Amino acid sequence: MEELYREILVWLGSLVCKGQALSFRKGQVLFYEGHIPYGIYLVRSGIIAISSKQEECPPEVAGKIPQGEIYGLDAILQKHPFCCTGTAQTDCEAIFISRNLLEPMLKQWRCLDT
Amino acid sequence: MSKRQTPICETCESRDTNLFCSLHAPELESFNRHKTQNRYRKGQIIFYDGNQAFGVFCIQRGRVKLYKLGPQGHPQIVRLAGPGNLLGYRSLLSNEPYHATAEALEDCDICCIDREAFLSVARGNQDMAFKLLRKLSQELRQAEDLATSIAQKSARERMAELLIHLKEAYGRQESLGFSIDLHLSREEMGEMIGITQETAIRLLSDFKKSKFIHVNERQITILNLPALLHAAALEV
Repeated sequence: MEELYREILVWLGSLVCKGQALSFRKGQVLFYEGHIPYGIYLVRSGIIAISSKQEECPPEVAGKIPQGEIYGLDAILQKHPFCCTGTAQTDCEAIFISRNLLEPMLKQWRCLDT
Repeated sequence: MSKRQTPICETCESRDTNLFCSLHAPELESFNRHKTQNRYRKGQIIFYDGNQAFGVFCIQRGRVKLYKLGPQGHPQIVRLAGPGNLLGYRSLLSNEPYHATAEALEDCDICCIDREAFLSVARGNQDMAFKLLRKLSQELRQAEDLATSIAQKSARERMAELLIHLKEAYGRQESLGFSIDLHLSREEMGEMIGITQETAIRLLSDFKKSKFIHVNERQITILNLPALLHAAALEV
């Protein structure tokens, strides 16, 4: 499984050029807690703060997504909604890779997961 | 975190009122495979002005305002949208970024259909392409009307005209008159016609005193439509 995860990351790297560049000003929201992801985000510049309204929010949920990190992959793979809200803490740029582009990888994952 | 089911297009209650009413089963199935539905709470942003368009948003429930920020940072509401309306399709068709920010005016259920799935169906279905053209033409006319109104009409005329438009889109006949089934703040009403919140408050108060309208907090009822048409310089 770990090997597949590494393969996925390499493959995601090849998808970056097909992704869409999104810009967010400080305070703008990239994704909301409880929403099913439309895709994943690769942070190109800036910092994204993640926060949750859930009282039982695990400590690892609250924090920051620094430059170069990918966010949303777990939620996509597990078919779960986002467990937190992502807000631009500074002006940010992110590459958005849609769920549709990820579909071949998701199929492969589902085969292994069942 | 629980998993949620996305409803299917075939049984969506807003389908009859939107551009997808003429789609065939395989096309709807393609949308079902490539869409995700989310619930946006009042005030949440669906997409931001200037960002690349990654999908088209179809409103199943609730209302949305689309606005642009002017050079001074003042918002100008360019359109209101409700169940059955599509958001962001112009940007997909023109391959341009979203031209406005979309914000939920109330709790909304909205489906996001992936860009390529939408474009593929639009390319292959002549009837839908024609309906898109018709919708584009209507929106262009409305934008031209608004530009003319802002350039040539007084604030009072614009407010009267706005109330008439809101009545046409969201009016419900009641014993007193036409109740507007959309609760906008005074600030938002001002943002729709290019006036300040203070001016919007003053004008609504004037109309209320003249008994053209009845106001109960955000609930507006039109009592005297002919008088309002006259005030809007729109003759009966």
